[in-house]
Amino acid sequence: MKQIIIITSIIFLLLASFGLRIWRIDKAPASVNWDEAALGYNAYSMLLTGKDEFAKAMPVSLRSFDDYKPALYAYLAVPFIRFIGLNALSTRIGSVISGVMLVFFVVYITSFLLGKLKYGLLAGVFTTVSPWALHFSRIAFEANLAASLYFAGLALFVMALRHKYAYIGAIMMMVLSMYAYHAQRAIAIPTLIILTMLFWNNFKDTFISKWKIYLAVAVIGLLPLIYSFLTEPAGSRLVSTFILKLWPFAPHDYPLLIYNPIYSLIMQLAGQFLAYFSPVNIFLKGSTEPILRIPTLGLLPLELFPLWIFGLFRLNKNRSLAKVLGTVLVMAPLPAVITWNWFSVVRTLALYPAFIILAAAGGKWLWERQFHHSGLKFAVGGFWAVLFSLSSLYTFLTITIYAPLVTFGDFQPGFKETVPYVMQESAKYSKVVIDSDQAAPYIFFLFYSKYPPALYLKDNHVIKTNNGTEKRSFGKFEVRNITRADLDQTGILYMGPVKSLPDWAVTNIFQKEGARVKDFKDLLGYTSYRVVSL
Amino acid sequence: MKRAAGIILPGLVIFWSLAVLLNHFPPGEQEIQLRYLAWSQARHIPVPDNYYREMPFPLPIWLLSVWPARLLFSDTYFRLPNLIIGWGGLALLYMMLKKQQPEIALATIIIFGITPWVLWMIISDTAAVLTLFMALLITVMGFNTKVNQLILIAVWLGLCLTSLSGLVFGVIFGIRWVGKQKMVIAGSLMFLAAAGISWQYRGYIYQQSIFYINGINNESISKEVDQRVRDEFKLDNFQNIVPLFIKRWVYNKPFYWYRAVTGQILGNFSVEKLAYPAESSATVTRSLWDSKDLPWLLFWEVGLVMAGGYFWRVLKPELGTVCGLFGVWSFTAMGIFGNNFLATGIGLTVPVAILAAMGWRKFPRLLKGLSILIVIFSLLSTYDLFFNREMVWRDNRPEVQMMIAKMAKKYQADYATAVLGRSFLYYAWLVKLSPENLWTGIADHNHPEKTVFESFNLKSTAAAKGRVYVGFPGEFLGNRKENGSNEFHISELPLNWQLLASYPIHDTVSFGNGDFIWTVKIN
Repeated sequence: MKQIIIITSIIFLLLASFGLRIWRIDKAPASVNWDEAALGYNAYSMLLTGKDEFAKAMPVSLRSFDDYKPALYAYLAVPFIRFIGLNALSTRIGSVISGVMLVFFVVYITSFLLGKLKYGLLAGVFTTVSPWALHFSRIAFEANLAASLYFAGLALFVMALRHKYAYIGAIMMMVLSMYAYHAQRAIAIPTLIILTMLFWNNFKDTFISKWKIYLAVAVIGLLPLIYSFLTEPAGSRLVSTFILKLWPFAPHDYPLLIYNPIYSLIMQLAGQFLAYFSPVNIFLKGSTEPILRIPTLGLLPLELFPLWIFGLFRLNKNRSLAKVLGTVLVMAPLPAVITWNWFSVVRTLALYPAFIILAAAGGKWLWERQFHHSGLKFAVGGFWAVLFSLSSLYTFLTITIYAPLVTFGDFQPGFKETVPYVMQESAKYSKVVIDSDQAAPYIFFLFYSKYPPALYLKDNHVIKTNNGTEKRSFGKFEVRNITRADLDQTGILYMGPVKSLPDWAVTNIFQKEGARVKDFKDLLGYTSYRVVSL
Repeated sequence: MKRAAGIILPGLVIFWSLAVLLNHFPPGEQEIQLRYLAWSQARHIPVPDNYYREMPFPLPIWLLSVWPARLLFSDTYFRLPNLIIGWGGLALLYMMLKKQQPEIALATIIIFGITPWVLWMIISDTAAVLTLFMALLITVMGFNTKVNQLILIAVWLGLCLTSLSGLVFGVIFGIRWVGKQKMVIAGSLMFLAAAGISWQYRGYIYQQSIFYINGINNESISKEVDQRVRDEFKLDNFQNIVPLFIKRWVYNKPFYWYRAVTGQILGNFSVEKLAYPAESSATVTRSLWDSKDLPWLLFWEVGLVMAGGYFWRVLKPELGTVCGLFGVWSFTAMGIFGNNFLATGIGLTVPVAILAAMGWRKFPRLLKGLSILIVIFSLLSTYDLFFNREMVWRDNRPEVQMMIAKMAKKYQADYATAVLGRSFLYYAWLVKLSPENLWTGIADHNHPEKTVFESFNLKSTAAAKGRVYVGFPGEFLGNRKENGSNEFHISELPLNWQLLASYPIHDTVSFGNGDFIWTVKIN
């Protein structure tokens, strides 16, 4: 009976997580951003041709906008694109499933370390409705998949404390997470090594007898990644964002003898590390970067703040919890700390599930130790639960309904509505010119038009550089700026912003020549794109 | 060795604080106002009502009124009373710690004394340092069970009359100690007094509250809720995808009030605000020293405080109580009163210093040795900021207003600008104007002596011949904010206008009026 309740609770929680993450996923966020479009189209390309958009077969990293995205997410998107077709849902569903699995791993780790399933379920509920978890699971983020795999590795490690065979699974998951996102490449294996050292007494015997197998699994698993690092500029992202770019840190008129660069570096690193533990950043501000920001919400619900504080200061009371969480809390911010970003949520996604487990531990301590009068305990607990439930409803409404109004601009609006129309009209024209203020318009066009990858590869696989802004053409489509001279041409279909196809041209040229003009509006009623059939 | 450290390190703190005192940082507007109120009090001279209304808590005024006016208005020693109170506070803290946990006593006052922001607050904010002193005094007295209850009540009353923050501590202390020592009569008196004082200052209290300062009121909350519902309705093609009755559970005023207030309180828990003020609103790193504030904590102190928090249980229970009491006080005060939140929460410096000292004590020796280099560099760089780069961390208004006053004095100006505030206070400070003349001059259209202090616009009103004006270029040539410009050149002045002096401002203080102070004579 007890087992049925446990299984039912977990299934219910996972279903709820799935429901909250999948509902209106094609509407909130309003459209796919360029990274999502790139992941989706590369997956589509791999499905139909076995190659990415640069004709690379079985890539470990997707060159994309020369940012060499880890390719695992795109591989996972392939089956969904096969069955659902190329769209926002099929591109994002991999992230949804990662988010749901993360809930499961958090439940498992918390239950194990705190010794009671109810606290695991509590942590599961926190993960289910936390703004960061909900937001990042509704967008095709490689970081979300990587965080989920990282926690799968942690869950298997924790499992291995009792069942040694799980250790090899932990290695595999940690290695796999390195194929999902850059940040995990820096922390996954070190995390496992540190944890193994901290729990050395538990693993000593098995490790000594099986270390060759473990090493072989890790090395074999890492071979493609190592090969990729040797043959591609896969570390380009780190180079471009490395903290030493700020060297010598102090303004040029400050004496370097006093504002010593090494001292400044330590100060900078310490500040960037501490920023991830600053309650304002966690509970109030969250990220302010486009795509990552969640309107009016922080990363974790406000109500978790007292639990988080108690959890932090009571961490030393549970040695196993302290070892596991302590390792994650130290390791997870590191990939972001070594960049010039002061506070980067996406690079530290593995930190927030650890915070949730910490809050659950704080909740346990408060519930079990702080209230001697049971009436008061239930009154305070009930009041808190009501507040938390209301906050969760607010979070859900904000992310699924309200957010697009604020963030639609982050997701390069307009292509979703315009491209299908352009494709429909394009049959009548020998040439179609696409212009956009947004970066990488070509990828949106490919994504929303489901342009056949084989045809695209025929024309574009030899592009030397690709930061998304270059001109390009494929078939009868040209992606470039529309010039004044273009406006006098006929027999061409133009898609562009009002800046390129201005109102005066509509009145003085297009209407006189009988051209058809169609405007596509964004959520605020402004014209995002204008299509002119000359 | 320990004995030597016991002499050298406090000596270092005294040396630093004296160095700050003697560095001639120009006074802030409120510092001058407070000193004039004190001087007027000492001589029983009536003061315009609004000057008292802005500083309604009388103890700082009473305290300064007993100092000789010559000292209060001395260019060098006018902050000496603050420093003496601050040293008194440090001594009280040391005594308390020496009794409770001697091994961290010295480290605590050193950490306390070398933190630049704390030092600056002690030197420049009489109300804040007096509040801290009184809070420490009453806490020390509270530990002493033999203390006369009437004296305790008198000190407590003084604390409540020091500042808003002091009033908050008074209430919290009252609740804590009444429960502890069963002082029913004293407690009732305290409660009644606190209620009376709060009622007396209710208008001021509201104006200083986070609600007033951040515009959080029933009307703004209502608007926010309405706007949200309308936006979503419009967004979903004029229908509610989630039924409105469900949305109403959270789209209502109480819930929005809860979010607004919790957000304001939580806003104080910021590592950036405390230790990296330049980064407080940054995503991408800016220069660590490009700030308009001194760090409240040196960055390594944050780590020490965290380590100290981890070893919380090693603290003696009484000291734990002090930390808890001061912590609750500070966060409550900062949570309720948003204006100058760090000064409001000055009490937090005590638990922070104690915890940092505890963290330092628990640090492994090897790490201590390595950290000493970081400590030295941090002191060098922050004190370089302190003494050589005032304009990096301090608002430049005091400097600019002092310059306006100096120009007005030197050129016997007929008009001087009031764009930046009450520059006539600086003028009065400079010429050591007596309070009678100051208040009479203010009543006579801010006209303390010959000079009239008010904003002028010589582009729209005719300039009188033979008059001397001190002001921003925009006041002579017209404000250019609407043109998106802040650029002016002397050559633009009419030929019969003679520029007597020009002073460049380091940082923009008056948008659209130019970055200079000009003294111009109309010929």
